[in-house]
Amino acid sequence: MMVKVLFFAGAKKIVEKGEVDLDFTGKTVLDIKKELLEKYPSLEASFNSVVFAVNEKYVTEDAVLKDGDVLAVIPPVGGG
Amino acid sequence: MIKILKEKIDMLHYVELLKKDDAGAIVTFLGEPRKSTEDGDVTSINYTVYETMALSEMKKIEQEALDISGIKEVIIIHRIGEVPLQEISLFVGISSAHREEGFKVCSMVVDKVKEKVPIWKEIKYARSGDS
Repeated sequence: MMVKVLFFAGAKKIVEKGEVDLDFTGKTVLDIKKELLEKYPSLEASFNSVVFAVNEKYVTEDAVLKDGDVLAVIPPVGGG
Repeated sequence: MIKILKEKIDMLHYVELLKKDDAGAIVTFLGEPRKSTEDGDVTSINYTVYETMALSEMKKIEQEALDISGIKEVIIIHRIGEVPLQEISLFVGISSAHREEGFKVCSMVVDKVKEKVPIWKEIKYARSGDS
């Protein structure tokens, strides 16, 4: 399935792009997290503190993805 | 009302919008970039946003506040882009029947904005340019 992955803040700087289309063979957010770490090993330190959103809603790592989903990698937020 | 703005926040305009016949109190919070000794020579903070999700999260926070008894109006505005020192980055305004719920809900809304809304800050320094 194809999943669009969005990166922000520190993660975007590491990956050097705001989004990638990933041809993903796994099932859950945890699976795609592992796949992203294989593709971008330099994300490892920042991945200790990120959370994920699917289609603009926060999810836990056991959430199941489907074709066409948009997964956002959300580093610790800092508005205000 | 919720907004994400790239320009200066005209706080007096939004305070006017908080005036309601059935409200006895208006409580506001203004957030602005802070210069502290440990941060070095800070000149501004650059805010970036995941805008569609940020608006969706702000809407949820607004609705949660409006559902509390006594709350008459809620305004949440976040400025993005480069915000210099002494300019407002976050405006939260609550009009309420009585001051107690106004103070409480204003504080709750600010906490939730900081916890849930996907906005990030990057501190800009006078010499190096970046954080």
